[in-house]
Amino acid sequence: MNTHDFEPVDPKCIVPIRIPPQTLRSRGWRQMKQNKLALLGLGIVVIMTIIAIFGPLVTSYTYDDQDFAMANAYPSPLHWFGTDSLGRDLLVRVLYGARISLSIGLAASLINLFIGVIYGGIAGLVGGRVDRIMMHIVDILYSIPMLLYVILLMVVFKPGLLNIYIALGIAYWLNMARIVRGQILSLKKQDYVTAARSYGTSTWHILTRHMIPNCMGPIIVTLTLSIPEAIFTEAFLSFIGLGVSAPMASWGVLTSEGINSMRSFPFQLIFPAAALCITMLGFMFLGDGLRDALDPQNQKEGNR
Amino acid sequence: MILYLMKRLAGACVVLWVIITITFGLMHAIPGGPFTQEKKLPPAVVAAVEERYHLNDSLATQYWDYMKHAAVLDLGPSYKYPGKTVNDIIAETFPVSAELGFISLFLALGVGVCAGMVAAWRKNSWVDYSMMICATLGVSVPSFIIAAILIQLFAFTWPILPAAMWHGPSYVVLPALALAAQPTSFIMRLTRSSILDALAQDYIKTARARGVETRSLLIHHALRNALLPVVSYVGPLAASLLTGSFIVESIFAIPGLGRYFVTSIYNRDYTMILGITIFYSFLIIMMNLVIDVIYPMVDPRIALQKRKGE
Repeated sequence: MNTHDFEPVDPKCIVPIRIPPQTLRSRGWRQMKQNKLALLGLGIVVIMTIIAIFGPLVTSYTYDDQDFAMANAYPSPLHWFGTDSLGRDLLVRVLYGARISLSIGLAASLINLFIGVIYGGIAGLVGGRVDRIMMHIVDILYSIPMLLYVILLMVVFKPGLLNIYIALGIAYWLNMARIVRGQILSLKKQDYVTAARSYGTSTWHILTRHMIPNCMGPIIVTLTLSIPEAIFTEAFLSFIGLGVSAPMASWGVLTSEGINSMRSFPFQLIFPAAALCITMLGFMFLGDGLRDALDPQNQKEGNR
Repeated sequence: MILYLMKRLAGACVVLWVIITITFGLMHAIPGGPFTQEKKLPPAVVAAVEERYHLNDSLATQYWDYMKHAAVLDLGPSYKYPGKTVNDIIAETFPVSAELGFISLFLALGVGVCAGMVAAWRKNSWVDYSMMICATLGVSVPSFIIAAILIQLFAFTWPILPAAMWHGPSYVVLPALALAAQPTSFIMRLTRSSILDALAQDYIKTARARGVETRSLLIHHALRNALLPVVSYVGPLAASLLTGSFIVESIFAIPGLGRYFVTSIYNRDYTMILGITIFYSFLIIMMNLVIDVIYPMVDPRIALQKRKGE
């Protein structure tokens, strides 16, 4: 065989190939940047959060200032969004509603996260019979329409902000628990975990260095998608009279009040409904985008 | 098969028992009682009422009584509608809800699956994009806003359909649309993504290489597999239609069980709330059972004994 068939490579042409390590964050962010809808969603969520935090600080009315002379006033330079039947400025109430609705979404999701990660984590890590029993309980709870029990809880406890946080938080952790458990189970079988174990790495180290970072993607996605669900559920509860108590108002309360007066004063429905829908859209876009970016195996819609 | 059914039925009974116990416990955790009102009743009346509804028995006795009655599906009297039992009210109002629910169910399944298929077939075209935008809107707009928009459009701006009540076929259209909007959008997204998944499989490539037309590929090869997630979604779908009916029936003033439930929440009619909750849970659990039994028929790969999700 003739070795001169091949030209020796000019050493100057050898360029060391440097692939930057693909962390979850960098890969996820790169994919997110290409997804315009997800960026739009992120923008909406950020803006709404800023509005919720700082909006009520810069307005000249408070959410419970009543002015009967100005009741049901149409939008004007004085009241940009008009006023409601008690003469309360609708813009301020929508801004405060942002605070309440977003805080409900966030608080309920964080309680979900807390319970779900601990429950799913224990089931996945311990495995065996404990896992079977724990997941059987989840399956059983899954077959019960949880919303009915949220309603029941709200009927029994007084409708109030804190009770809404708790009722929504303890009702919707099932999904999180399932996802965390599934992740942990599959991660346990990964070679690098076995390798780490064979080096004598402690369980705690494996957990914090290998398991949790690799679970983060699905957890973040589930968390993002559970925020709009909580806001939605709160709007539903408000509609059937179990929302936050007056004079406070979430978007759900404002919208259901708006429906009652939509024939005569449509603006009372339009503004809170628009705020609610835009925010929901934002979270949906963001959640979908995050799912595509962070969780490539789980792009199906089946697991709600 | 029969063994499996028995097992599942036993399981469902246990779940129902747990549910009844939880609801009973919750209802009796309420401070005061069902007859505590702003207006003070004379003590004799209170005593008579408590006697009549056995409220002064011990909690254990009351629980035992309730269980005994619930076991034969007797959900007790209504506190707010004297002379009527919860069963009477359910029997009276549930047919209306069931009618609306079934129409919405088929609407959601039919439109959702077809639209999802078309979107997957024309992936990344404007048809796909506009459908997905509609679906995302449908998922993120609460049903009461959709109902309000529908009423405004089709009952007032362009008065072709009645805005409320329940007197015949034309009264079904708007409520059914409002109720089905969200599940339809969800099924559409589900179908689209699972068809796209199925289309990426090897057997589809093989079929394509053999020269099978795209349309028949879609219908005969991909759809069957893609429908599985949709079938497993029917359970949650029924649940969401059920809770959706609370709102839709209230807005459209439909005399169904959903509206009754909301009214009894406003009235704090505890036996009604309790009874309807148990009835609904029973319904959903049975629905899930039926779907779990049907599922292996659609997908022979799943053996009955294997638990779902493993």
